[in-house]
Amino acid sequence: MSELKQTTPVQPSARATVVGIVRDAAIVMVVSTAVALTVNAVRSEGIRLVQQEQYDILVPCPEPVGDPEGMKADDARVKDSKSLLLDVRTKEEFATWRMEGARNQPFDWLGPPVDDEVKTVARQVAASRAQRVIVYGDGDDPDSGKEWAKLLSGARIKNVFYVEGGAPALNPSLPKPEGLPPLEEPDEPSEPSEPGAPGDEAGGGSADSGKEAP
Amino acid sequence: MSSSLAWRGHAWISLVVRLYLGGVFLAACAHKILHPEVFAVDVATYQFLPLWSVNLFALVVPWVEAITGAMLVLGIRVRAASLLIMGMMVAFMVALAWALQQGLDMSCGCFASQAAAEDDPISWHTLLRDSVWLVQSIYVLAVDRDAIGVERLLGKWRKRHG
Repeated sequence: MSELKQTTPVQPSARATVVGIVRDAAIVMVVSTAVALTVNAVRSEGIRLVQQEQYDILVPCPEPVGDPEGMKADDARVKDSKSLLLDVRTKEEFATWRMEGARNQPFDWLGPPVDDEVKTVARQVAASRAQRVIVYGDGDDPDSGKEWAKLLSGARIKNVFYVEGGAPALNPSLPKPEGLPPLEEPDEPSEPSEPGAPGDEAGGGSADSGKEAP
Repeated sequence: MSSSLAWRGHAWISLVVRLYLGGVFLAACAHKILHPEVFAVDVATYQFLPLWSVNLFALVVPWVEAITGAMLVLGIRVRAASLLIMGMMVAFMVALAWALQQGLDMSCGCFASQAAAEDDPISWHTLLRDSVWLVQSIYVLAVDRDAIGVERLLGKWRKRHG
């Protein structure tokens, strides 16, 4: 009988089995952590164990320069509370009228590079946890809103949109952008224009000229 | 129930599942171990973990994947390995569901960095894929009590040689 007891394999209880599995899993975790930390310490390009600064990303783009998507002014997402609105017009224009909840980030075409500003805004965007960023500008051609949206996309922010037509499209009471004058004037000898001739401003050609971008 | 779990065929089915699951995890850990700084950005992109834990998570998880993947393939403590994989799958699925619910248009970060966002964007299909792996890990945990592999061979060798 005593021999039988010795030869019969002892089946571990269910509890002991579970405890054994959990113990083994804990050992694997400890070993993995030790290996990970050791390898990171040895690597020349190891990363910090505790990240101090916010990663300035919302969702990174694969391209270094982003390609923001255009959005119509009447798109429902413009008024969605999960959208972060950026108004890139001048402070004066922003003070005159703005979309509710919009932040002002003036864009100066002739100013210094705005890399730092873009990074700052990118961090703010990441911290805001907004689902998307919608930029609107002067609606001119080129549109400052679209340009800022490109910069923001280039700063590894995805889900960036711009409002087609900018602020004037959002608020039709705002003055339309005048645009720049044409670069080249027709080099034809000046002829006295006849009243009512095609191309005569009095003949109503100004409506079309307003649509054409320089 | 216990008799169905004790069926000997489970060991062979589990072997196939283990090789597949282990291979998946070994493949998944490679780029994360080689480029922890990129994987940390991937983790941060989910906006799920607090900032202080992002780098630690990015450093440790790939090694857990590597070691558990190797354990499954080799047949060493497979139930402990599958328990850890089960835990990781649950964690990944929660983060994935959260990101999908937030409407984040991003890469899974499972097998490549965010730079491959267009190749492996997150979707409900990703969640379904992960749930299949979760079920597989539960299967191994539940049935593979005497896994075919290195550990079993060592046990037999010990019995023979006293």
